[in-house]
Amino acid sequence: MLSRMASSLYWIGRYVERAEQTARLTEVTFSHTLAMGSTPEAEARRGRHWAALLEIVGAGSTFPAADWPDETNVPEHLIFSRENPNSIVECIAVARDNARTMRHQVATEMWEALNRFHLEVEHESHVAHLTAEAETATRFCRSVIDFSQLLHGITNSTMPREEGWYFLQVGKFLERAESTARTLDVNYRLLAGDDKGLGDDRTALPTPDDVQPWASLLHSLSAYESYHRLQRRGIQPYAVIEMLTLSAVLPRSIRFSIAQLDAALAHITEQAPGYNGSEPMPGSSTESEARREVGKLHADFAYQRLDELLEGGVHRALVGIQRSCYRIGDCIEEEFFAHRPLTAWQAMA
Amino acid sequence: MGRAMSPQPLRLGLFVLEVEVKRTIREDDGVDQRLAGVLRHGYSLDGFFDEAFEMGPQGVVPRKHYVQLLDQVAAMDVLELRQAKELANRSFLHRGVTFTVRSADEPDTERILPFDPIPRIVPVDEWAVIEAGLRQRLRALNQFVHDVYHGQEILREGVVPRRQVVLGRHFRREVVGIDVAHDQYIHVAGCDLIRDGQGRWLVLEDNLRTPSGVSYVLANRQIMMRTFPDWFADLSVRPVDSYAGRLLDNLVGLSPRRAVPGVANGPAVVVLTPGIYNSAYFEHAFLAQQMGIDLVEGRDLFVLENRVYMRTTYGRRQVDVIYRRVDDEFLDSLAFRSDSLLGVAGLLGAVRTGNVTLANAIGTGIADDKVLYHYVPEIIRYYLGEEPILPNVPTYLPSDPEQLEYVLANLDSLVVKAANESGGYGMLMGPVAEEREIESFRQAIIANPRGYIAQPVVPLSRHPTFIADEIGVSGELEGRHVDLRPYALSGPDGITVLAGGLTRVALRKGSLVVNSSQGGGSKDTWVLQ
Repeated sequence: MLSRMASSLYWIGRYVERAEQTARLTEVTFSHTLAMGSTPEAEARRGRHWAALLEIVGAGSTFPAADWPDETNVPEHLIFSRENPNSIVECIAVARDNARTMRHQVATEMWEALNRFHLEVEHESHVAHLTAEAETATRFCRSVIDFSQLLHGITNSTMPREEGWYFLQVGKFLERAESTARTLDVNYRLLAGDDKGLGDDRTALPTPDDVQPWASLLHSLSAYESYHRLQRRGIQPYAVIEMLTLSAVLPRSIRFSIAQLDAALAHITEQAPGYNGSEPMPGSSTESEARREVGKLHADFAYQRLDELLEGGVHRALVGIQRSCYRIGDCIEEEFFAHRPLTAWQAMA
Repeated sequence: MGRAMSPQPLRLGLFVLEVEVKRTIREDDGVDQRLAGVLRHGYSLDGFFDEAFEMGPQGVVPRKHYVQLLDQVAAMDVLELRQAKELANRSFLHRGVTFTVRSADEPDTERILPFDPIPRIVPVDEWAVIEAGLRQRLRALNQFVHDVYHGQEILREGVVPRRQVVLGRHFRREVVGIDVAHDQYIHVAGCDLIRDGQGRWLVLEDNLRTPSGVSYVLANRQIMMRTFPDWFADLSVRPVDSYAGRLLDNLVGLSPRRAVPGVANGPAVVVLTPGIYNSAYFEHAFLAQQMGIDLVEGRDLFVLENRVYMRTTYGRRQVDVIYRRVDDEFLDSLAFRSDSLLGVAGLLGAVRTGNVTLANAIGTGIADDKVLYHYVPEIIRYYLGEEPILPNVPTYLPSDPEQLEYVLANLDSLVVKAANESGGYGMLMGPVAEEREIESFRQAIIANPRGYIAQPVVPLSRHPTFIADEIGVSGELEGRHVDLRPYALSGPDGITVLAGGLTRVALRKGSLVVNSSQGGGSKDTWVLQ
């Protein structure tokens, strides 16, 4: 497959997942903070949650520094802002542009779903300045989640299980692993305190009186009901952390995402360079570095226990995962998509 | 609650239209005005040649080949027709059947080409003439391009003045002496045809570089068959869907590497696009999809030892034929514009060594230069020894001192066109232009006579077009000016003309400019068997 096409599918996977994740987190932050009341102390707590959300979705630098983050400005920034390259409208626009570069290769249904939702969102972004209202914002977030699910459904039932499909999966699950790690990391520091998470965390968290924040965290990852069913007990912070990192069955856990990523990359690298009428690029390596990185991370997670994770510090572990994800992303770019011109010596080789 | 009544004549202004129109009458309150059809206020010719109607002894009557269609159209509920039209346009938007409009003070916007549901019909005898005329023209023009880049016989004999060729902006001295597969240059052509006040078919211009619009022909037909299947019922309309297959066959036939029996990976054929910001991007993607081949951008390709490769996830793959939709100047930053990021550095070398074939070949632009257009009838006589089947529109060349004088004296009644622009840009419509505009063209022509041509204003033929009213409940048929762009493919087995083409319609009342960038729309075009 043409490298640029593979790259487009990978980025469609990433951006749609990113939009969905932002929608989920915004929705949950709304419902979580609304119940806090309006005392000055509660205002401050609310602000901390909105600020945390900005950090999770990586919008801290684009959010106007002069504003005190709260429900009147953060959702607007995360959903509609053109200044924020990761806002939902921007994510959908980029995904749609990517689909447009390869509309001749994706199923018509998939292209049309993306194009229509993009047109809807663009329309919405012109008429809706009232996103400060929780109802509008949550309804919008819900429609983004629904759209993402719809798109997964369409791709699932229309795309041939070939390279293109696996690149889409790689993008989706790499984004998800990274995003779950960041969500958990930021929330952990918010709930346990900033000084925690660097050393031995086995006793860092007392069972809090208020489990609501942990419940919200589970909600945001669609894991609340699964938690109860799988854990068969009330909400306990350590159990939540275990679920979201090490569960092999929960679709948004880090381990699950990495397993999917590993499987998709395995399919992609099954064929060696030279497959399908191609020849290896001059100077290219035959070993896949991306595959090696993912495999390492996967093995790590498949055999890890919670107490080991806690021993090293939750924050440290989660940061480590995020770093691995960046590295994997770089390797994938380099190996499969790189548009670097050939250097003179490569051309002569 | 309605029921069909017996046919009755429809009042058409002062005249009585002899069409049998099935009207639906409400039993309770008599004739429902809304249902009286799109011709309830009649139809007026305003002195133009109309494709569908003509003046009979007793008034305006439909032409013979339109009777059946107009019966069906007039019998339709207006609101239903209106909704069908809107649905079709919305479906184009959702499917992304769009083009990009560029303007200096606004961000680029994607727009659909507005679609008019009333099809244009070309009867079989007229089509036979068009087809023969286009073949003749393209055979001659192809020989002309080959000659210009090889022996230059026609220039030496003075049939076409040498300076008109070598001063042309699209003359490519870089390809002089380069041989191309089957000596074929113009693989895809889209000549613009118009009809004058007497209904004569004329060639308005030749588009021989990267003509666009064929995707709308195919998309329009699809939507028409889906929306108005009844209209096709008793007419045998020639299909258009063989286009992509034919183009693919021709492209594969150009490959320098032959397909080897038993080896799955035959010649690699690709479509080269400037990318999603190009106004015709939809078409590039559509054609690639229809042909089942890769759509590439310049950055997907590279040249190594005079061979072109594309970058794939499994390494490089050699490319044999490129259907390029990138203009000559941008194709190779080593040979042409060095600031181009759209092409492939070193491509010309691969062309020269015969390792890759481009369609259309580099340099065809010299044959659709608007100044050279003037000489096409001579070119046809010179190479084929035949009289042109399709005449040109009379054209004045300001580069000739006598004609310059005439042009300058008559600017207010002529159309002036920049020799190397397209899409309706760089054009002066003398009769409707302001004094200021005429003055600026006057200066420009004096400064660069080779850069312009002038033609008399041709009163383009009109075609009934559905015009929605402003309050959004109704609409009726009015005449709007149209042209026709048929598409011709040249391959190793000769020239095929797609039976149909893009009928462009100037939707603004009275406008003679049909370009999509200037408020034009399109219609499905039916060639009858």
